[in-house]
Amino acid sequence: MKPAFFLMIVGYALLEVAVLPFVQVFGAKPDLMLLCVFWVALEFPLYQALLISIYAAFVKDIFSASSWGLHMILFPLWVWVIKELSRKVTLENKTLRFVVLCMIILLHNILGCVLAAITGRGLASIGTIIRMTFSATFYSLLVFPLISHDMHYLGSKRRQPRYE
Amino acid sequence: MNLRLFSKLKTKKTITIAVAALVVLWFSQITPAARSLMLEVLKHPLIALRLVTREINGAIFFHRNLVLKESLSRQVDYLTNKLNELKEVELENARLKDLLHLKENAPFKVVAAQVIGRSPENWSSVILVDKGSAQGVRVGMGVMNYLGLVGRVIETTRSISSVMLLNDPSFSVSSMVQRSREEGLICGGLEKMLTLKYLAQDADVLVGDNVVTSGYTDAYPQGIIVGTVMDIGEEFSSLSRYAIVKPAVDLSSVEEVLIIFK
Repeated sequence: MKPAFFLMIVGYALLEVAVLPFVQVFGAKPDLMLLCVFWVALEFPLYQALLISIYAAFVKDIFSASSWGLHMILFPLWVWVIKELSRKVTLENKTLRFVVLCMIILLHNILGCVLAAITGRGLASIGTIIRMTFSATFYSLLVFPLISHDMHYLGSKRRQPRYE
Repeated sequence: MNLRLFSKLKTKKTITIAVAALVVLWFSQITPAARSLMLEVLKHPLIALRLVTREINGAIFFHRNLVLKESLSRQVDYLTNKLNELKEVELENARLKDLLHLKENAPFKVVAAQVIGRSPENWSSVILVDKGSAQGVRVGMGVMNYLGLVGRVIETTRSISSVMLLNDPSFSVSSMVQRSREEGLICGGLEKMLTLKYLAQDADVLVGDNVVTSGYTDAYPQGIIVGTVMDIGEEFSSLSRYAIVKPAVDLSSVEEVLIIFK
C-alpha cells in the first residue's frame, strides 16, 4: 500500500467539503469516503481494511457537524459486514458488487439518520429523508467506478497476490 | 474434544469482536477532541481548494456572472439613492429621539468571515468559516450576511468555526412577521424553504410578508431579515398555522458571512 493512498483519502475528504457541495443532486452528495471503505473492504485483508476504515472515519468525522464520531462506528461495521458476506458469497461479480454497495449506502444513510436522531439532532421530514437517501445512493453508485479506478491504481501493490 | 475447541474458538472470536467494538466506540468519543487540531492542519489546503473551485466556477459561469454583475450595478445605483433618503430619515429620527429622551439601542458589532467548506454529511447543513476563537468568535453567536440571517456558530477552533445554517433540521429561531408582528418559530428541514411554525389560528400573515428575527433569542438582534412568506398552511391538528418562508440568503451559495458580536 502506497502512502499516497492515505493522502488520497484526505484528498477525498477535502473534495467532499470544498467541491461536492457545488455539484449536489436533489440536495445529496456522493459519499466518497464510504466508497473508499467499500473498495478497501473488498480488496484488503480484514485487519488492514479495518485500520483504513477507522482512518477514513476519523478524517470524515473531523469535518462533520456531529458531536461524536458517527462514521467511526459505521465504517468499521461495513468492513466487517462485507468481510462476513464475502465468506458466504463471492463478490467478484461486478453486478453483485453494485447490489451490495447499493444496499450498504442505503443502510448507511438510514442508520446515519437514525443515529443522528437518537443523539438529539433534528430530523428533516420523512419525504426529504427518502428523497435524499435515494439520491445519495444513486449518485454514489455513479461515482463508484471513478473511485474504484483511483483506488485500484494506488492500492495495486497490495492487490496482486490475491488472484495468484 | 472438538466441541470444546470450537467453543473456545467461538469465545475468542466473541472477545475479539467485543474488544474491537469497544475500541471503535472509544475512538468515536475522542474524534471530536482531535477535530480542533486537525482542522487547523487541514485549513490551508481547504482554503486553497476553495479558491480553485471559486475560480473554476467563475470561468464556467462567466456569462451568468456578467449578466448578474450588470443587474447588481443597477441595483447598487438604486440602493445608493435609497440610502441617501434613509440617511435623512435617520438624522430626523435621531433628532426626535433626542427630543423625547429615548434610550438608543446599541448597534451590534460584526466580523466578516469567508466560507471555506461545508459539512460532508447529507443530514446537516453546516458551513466552515475562516474565523475562530482567536478572533473572538464564540459558540452560539448569530451569523448573517448583507441580505439576512444565515445561522449560528455551533463550534469553534482557534481559527475555524462551524456555522449551522438556517435550513439545518436542528436550527430554530424566534421570528415575527414584519408587517403584523405575528410571532412564530423559524425551523429548517434541509430544504431550500424554511417553516415558520406555531402561528396563531387567526394570525395576520400574507404571502409576500417579510419575516424578521424577534430579538427574543439573545444571539440574534431584532429585525434581521430571515425571508419572505411564500405559502401559508394549517397544521394537521388545526390548532395552529404555519408559513413556508423563502430565506433571504441563498444558503447553497453563501460565500461571505458576518458573525454578530453583541
